[in-house]
Amino acid sequence: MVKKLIKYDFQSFIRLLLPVQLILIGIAAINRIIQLFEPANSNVDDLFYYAIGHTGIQSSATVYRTIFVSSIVLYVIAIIVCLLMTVIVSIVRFYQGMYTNEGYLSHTLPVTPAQHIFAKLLSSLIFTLGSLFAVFLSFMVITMGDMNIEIFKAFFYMMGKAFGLYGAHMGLYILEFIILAVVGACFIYFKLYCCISVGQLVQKKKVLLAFGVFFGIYVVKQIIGTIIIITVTMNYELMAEIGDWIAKHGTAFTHILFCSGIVFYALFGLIYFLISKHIMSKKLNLS
Amino acid sequence: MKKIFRITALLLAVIMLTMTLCSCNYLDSLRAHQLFYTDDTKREIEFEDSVYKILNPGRLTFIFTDLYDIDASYFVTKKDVPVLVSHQEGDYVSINNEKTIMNMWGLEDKPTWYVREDCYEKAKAALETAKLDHYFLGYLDYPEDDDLLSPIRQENILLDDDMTAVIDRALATPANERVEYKKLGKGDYDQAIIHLSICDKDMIVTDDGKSIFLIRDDGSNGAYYVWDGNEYDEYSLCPVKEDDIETVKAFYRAYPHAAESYNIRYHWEDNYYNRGYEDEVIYPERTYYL
Repeated sequence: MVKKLIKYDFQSFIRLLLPVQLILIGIAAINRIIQLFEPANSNVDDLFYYAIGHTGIQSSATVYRTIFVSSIVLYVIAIIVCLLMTVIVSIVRFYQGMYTNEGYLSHTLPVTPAQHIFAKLLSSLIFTLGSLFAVFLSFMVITMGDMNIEIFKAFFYMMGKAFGLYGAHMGLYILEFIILAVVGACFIYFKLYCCISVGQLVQKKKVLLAFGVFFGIYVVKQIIGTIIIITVTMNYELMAEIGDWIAKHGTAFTHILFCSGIVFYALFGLIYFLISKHIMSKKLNLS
Repeated sequence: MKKIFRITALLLAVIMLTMTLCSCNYLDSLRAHQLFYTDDTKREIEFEDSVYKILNPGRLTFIFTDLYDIDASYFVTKKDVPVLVSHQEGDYVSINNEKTIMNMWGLEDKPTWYVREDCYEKAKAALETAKLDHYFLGYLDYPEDDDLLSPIRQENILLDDDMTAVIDRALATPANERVEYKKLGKGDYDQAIIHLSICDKDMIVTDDGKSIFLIRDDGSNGAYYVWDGNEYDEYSLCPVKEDDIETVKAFYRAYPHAAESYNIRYHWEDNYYNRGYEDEVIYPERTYYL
């Protein structure tokens, strides 16, 4: 049953996100075609060079640069739109599937609220990964050719150097980073689901309350974080000891940083999940 | 319909192939400015089909006539370093105009020198003899037509025998005939000073620590002096001999951009001030001018 839930979610995601991702790759392709017209002296930056009469060179290089920069800006906007759309579509799919008319059907299925939430999360995570892959693919398109090869060469060279420097720890760093990224993504979605779930407790202006809850959580986190930072940094001896310890145990510190991030996001993700599950089980308010 | 799809697919394939074949100026520029060590010892560098070998000049310095491709930075890396990281991983190096010498600044603020293979023996011989009995002028040549695009090139000019003899005669002035710096004019830009450096007869090596200055005192009587760069000797201005003044005047005319104008009095007093001497006790008449 969960598989069927995911299948219908996939169809909605594909319908909405695939065109955006294709447009992103199309913009990258256009940018790459623009690069074919790069003039030979486009590296000349001196405005004075242009100002004193080298207008022939000025016009071609300036026109190219204007078009190129504009297309890069458009490309960056397209990336942001693609990633934002993924998150927005995930939220909208959750809200519509759980708390609107579609919710009447969803909650009659032989599926627990936890399974509903995990199904939505899984779809969101897969399509987030899909959007990131689309961004990566667009980057490959925009740098297609020599630059692409050189980027890969530089990347593998730097990775080789990092492994040479840190040894097995580098492998652990990568693993911890991947786990942190996945747990972090789950945390974000659980938080958004929690905000929506709390928002639907009222009769009117459910979405507005959801936004309010989101910003409320943000403000509370900022206040608590600021208090902790002020408390810690005012203690100079403690700061000095921490600094000394970090200087002597850099590798261990990095592992602690990653692991504490994973634990933090996992813990709060779990809290948000439990809140959403509780509301969905006990406080469901379908209008 | 199928035909349209085939043509579209073919067109896309052609575009993709075109994209893979073209390069970009940024990469081309980076590649042109990446040099390689021949091996891990870093004692030799390859550049334009030539090999440059390391040569330590000791206390002396090789003379750079100009920087080849003055706006470019060259980075020397090992052969396995990709071009995109050549700036981070490479060692920065300057190349002279004749492409015979490379100058690399290391971590200890001392340059490392590399000399082209075919000039190596000559450079080594110049270092070993180290007879620095000539002078040269590092001259900035401004373009005549005020074309601001033309680079301002530095040209090193070996002084001819006449001018060398003029300077040697001036420097041979006995101590009791030398002039104190207080005789110089007092205004802001009263002395036209040409900075000369010592070198060997082939203008290959110099001693950075030793400079000679030609001074024309425009602030008082237009007299000509040679200063041996000794900063702490009050009586260190050597007057140019009467018979040699026309030679020096002609030199000034030949190189109009060579002279820097400033008041050399500040130079002495600045140094005395910085040495922390109490003016009232040792040099009561000195004042630090700001």
